[in-house]
Amino acid sequence: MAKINVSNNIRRLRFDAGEMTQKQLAQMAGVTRQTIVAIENAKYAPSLELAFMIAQAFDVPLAEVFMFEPPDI
Amino acid sequence: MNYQQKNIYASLFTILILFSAYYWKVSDLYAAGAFDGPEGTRLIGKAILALMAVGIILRIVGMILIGIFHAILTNTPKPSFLIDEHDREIEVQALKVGNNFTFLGMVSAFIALAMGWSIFAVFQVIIASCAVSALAEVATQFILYRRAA
Repeated sequence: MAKINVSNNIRRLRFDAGEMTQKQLAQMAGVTRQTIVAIENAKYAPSLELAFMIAQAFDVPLAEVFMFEPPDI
Repeated sequence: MNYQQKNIYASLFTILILFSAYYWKVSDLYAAGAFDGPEGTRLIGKAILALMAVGIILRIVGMILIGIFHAILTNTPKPSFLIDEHDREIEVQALKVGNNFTFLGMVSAFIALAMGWSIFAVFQVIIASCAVSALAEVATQFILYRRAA
């Protein structure tokens, strides 16, 4: 798979949300727990729709969850 | 393990059982000379149709069995059948790999035909390429899920 240039704060946001589990977040975003694991570990960049759903689950703006790191050209 | 990951094991189970049984049965029939003469091509067609039908049935049975075993072993009475965008992306990538193997098999079959191999042998090359392609798809899915974990 191509290198992922999107990092995230999901781990911290889950902690701030009272140690929300990956399973709980997955249910709120409508995906599997494995997909949340992959996103949290920056192994998979979610679609824009899923990214918004994750941000909505934490009730924060998208930019607070995901950060784009431009590739070295 | 999600629904799609269980699917990988069901596919592997299906592929191994199906193609082993097919080649075992076909080699017996070949040894008995059943593929010789004009009836041979009809028998090849019937064998391939049977392979497809049994494949579908085995896949369904495999999914049910693996679902039951997984529910018992992990103590999850309500298994999830959710497939999300990540699963679909992995599925597409695996399909691409599988298609490459199928294409290689087709080219090999045409080469075999050009070299004067029998119709029976050419069909076996095609079936073998389908088996290899299916295994490559399963292996790709397995590797991609491992990498994402």
